[in-house]
Amino acid sequence: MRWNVGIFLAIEQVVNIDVRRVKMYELTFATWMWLLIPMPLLIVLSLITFVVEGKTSKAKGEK
Amino acid sequence: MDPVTVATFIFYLVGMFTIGIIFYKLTHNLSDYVLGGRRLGGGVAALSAGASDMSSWLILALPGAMFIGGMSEIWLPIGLAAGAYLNWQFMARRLRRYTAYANDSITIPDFLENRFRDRTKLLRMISAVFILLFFAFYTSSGLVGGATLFQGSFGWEYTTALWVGAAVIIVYTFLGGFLAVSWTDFFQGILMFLALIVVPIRAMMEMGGWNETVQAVGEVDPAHLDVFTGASAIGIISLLAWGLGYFGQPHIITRFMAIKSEDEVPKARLIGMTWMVLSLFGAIFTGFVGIAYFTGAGPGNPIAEGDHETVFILFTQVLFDPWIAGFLLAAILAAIMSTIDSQLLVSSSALAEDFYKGFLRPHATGTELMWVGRIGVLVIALIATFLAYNPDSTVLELVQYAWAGFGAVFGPVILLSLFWRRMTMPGALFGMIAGGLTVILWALPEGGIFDLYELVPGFIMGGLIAIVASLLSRPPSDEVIAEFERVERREG
Repeated sequence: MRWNVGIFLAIEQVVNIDVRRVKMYELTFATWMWLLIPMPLLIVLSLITFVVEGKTSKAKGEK
Repeated sequence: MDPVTVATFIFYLVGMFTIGIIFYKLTHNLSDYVLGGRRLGGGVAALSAGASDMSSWLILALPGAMFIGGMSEIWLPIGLAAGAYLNWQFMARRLRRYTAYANDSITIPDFLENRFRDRTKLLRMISAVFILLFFAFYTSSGLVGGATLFQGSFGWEYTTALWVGAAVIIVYTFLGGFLAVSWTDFFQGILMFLALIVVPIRAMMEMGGWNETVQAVGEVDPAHLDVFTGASAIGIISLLAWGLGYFGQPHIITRFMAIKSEDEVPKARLIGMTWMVLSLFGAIFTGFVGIAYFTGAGPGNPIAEGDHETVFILFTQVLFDPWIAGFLLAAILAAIMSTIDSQLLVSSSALAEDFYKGFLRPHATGTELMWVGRIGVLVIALIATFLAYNPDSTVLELVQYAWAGFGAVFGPVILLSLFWRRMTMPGALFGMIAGGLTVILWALPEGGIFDLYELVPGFIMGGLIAIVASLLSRPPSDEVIAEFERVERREG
């Protein structure tokens, strides 16, 4: 079994949809998952660390 | 070319010159010249790091790759974005702090020597030679890209186009140094960002919207809609692994060293990552919409075989009026110049700080070193221009190893130097050599496991050898340990 097929079979068990065939706005669910999750997640992480590290600096009185 | 487009191009170039002249007056010594006196704000640091990182690859090559391969090309952008984030998250603060503590180091070779109190000067020499050699080819390859753009846009001879492109970059880098380079990169980054947002949105509107675009792409080839078409595990890991290279790119991580306070890092990281992710999405969708627009399914004339990297340029020509097209084309030049100027400056700092001050005149004054840096910019730019005379030269093929080379030589060694107390000078030395040699040797055979991008084994081998050699050598001196602890505690 190809490794990426294995990943999708596991996901399909959980969300109960065929992620390589089910389409959202014309693209397969799998493509959306890879397209939309990893990169925007980095912006969200940057935003979270911006808030958290800003608070830590203020608490330490370093600003 | 339309005279209006030429006018916007010239307006842009004059803007770059002006920035060079402004910062000429604010530059007084070598630290100002190669590191801007460590007074860069978070926003400028973020965008200039991004613009230095992203060359014409972002605007020409990535949309071209998407045009050919469809969604299966997104692995490389994902790997790059993840690598850039990790670089901001783990390296930026610590490198800014440690370089300031380690005798105010202003270059990477300078930092390695000061970090380990290396009296043999071997670390400085080897790392500076590596920087000079690879950036000469890197810069040269960028100049070829700029000249080709000028040649195509203005119809000039290749050599004329090459000299004009080189002259513009030399003038503002020579005059204004790091601050001019950072501020021009900042504006160039904004220009690239706007271009990569405007073009795909306008193109998608022209196709009738998102659903119509995707349907048209699917009609051209349904495989273009699948992220796994033609992708093997080794191929995907190799593409994702490009992100590892960020830890060792001197022209990018010097922006971390120049930021005015490490407390600016979170803001810079947020701005930098937002810029990068949205720009990458812009490039991805420019190529994606191009499939629908330029392959017969859409209104555009089909792109000739081999011309797929012109997809962005073609969109600017068919969708925008000449005023806007001029700025959009200037964005390509911005992407090229913002990378070359940073590489030129890092090379010049290796020449001035690491060779001239490090080996020839340890007590040279700040003004003297600044002028050596300026002359260094001139000399390296001239060498790179002569190398670029023959764009088909096999020497320029060395560039394809530069990203992996820098990543494997400097990445693991700098990370360990920043975070591992037991790291020693022999560990750094043998780690750099092992990383570099692995990249070269891994790239020679083909097939099977050797299809894996050479950065992966190079990075692992560089790190492993650095650890083993450190453990086998004498522990660091008390002085080195004390400094490491001061950095950890962030003492004043």
